[in-house]
Amino acid sequence: MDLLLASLAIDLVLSSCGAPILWQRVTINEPIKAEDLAFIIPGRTTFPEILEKLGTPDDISGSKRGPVAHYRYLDQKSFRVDLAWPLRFFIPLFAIPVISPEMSFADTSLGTDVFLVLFDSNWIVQEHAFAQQAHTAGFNPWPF
Amino acid sequence: MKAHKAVWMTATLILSLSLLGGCMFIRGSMGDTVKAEDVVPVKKGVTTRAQVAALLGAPERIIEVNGHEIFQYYRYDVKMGLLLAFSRTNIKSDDLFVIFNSKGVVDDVIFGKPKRPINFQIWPFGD
Repeated sequence: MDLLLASLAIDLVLSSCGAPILWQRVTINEPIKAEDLAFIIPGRTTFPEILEKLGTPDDISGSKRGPVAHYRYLDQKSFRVDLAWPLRFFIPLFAIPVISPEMSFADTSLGTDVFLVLFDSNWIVQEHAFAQQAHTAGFNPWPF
Repeated sequence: MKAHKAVWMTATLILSLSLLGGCMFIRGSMGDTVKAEDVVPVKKGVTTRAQVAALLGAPERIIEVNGHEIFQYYRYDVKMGLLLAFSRTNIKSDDLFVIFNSKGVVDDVIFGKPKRPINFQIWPFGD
């Protein structure tokens, strides 16, 4: 959740910069590929083997059946256009600090890949699940 | 004629400068870098919770997982590039988990290979 807040904060900071049109993207961690997970065999693969191949997880939580390791990849794509921006060329220079026309259309979409591994008390993989949603993020000019 | 040309040149310059959204490169980080050698003194079955805190500092998070207390240390690294109308921000997190048994002694240290360093990028499209 911290990562999500960080990406939204960056989105907010960037959206306040003065460009009349902006494509922006925020990615957190590297994409998780399904083929990188093929080595995992429930009941046999151990946590050290997972660490060797995938690195340290982003989070560890508990469940009724055992500890769960979380690996996440987040992809956020935003597009913003200020349609009123050209009007500033028709405003007298002295009035620009007072009159600043803006009609912005913006859209942000967020996609996440999440890989969860459930371990038993001896840190042997019991189950794993992979949800790929990162590809759903896109640059969309129309927010309605 | 010269005045007409100068007006056009000035207008073009103003328009060009206004179109530029600017150029920014920003780097940020949160938390200390944990190196493999920092973790070496932490011994399974020997080091206590207090000793881990003395060696690595106070954890960023303490998690309770299935009767085990876990200290989580993390570091975020952020690199952002902005040029004209294009911006890309890359964020990487590196984590260290120290798991304790019910007696408060280290049960396991979870510290895998560090993630690849992130780069400054501007182009938001593609991979």
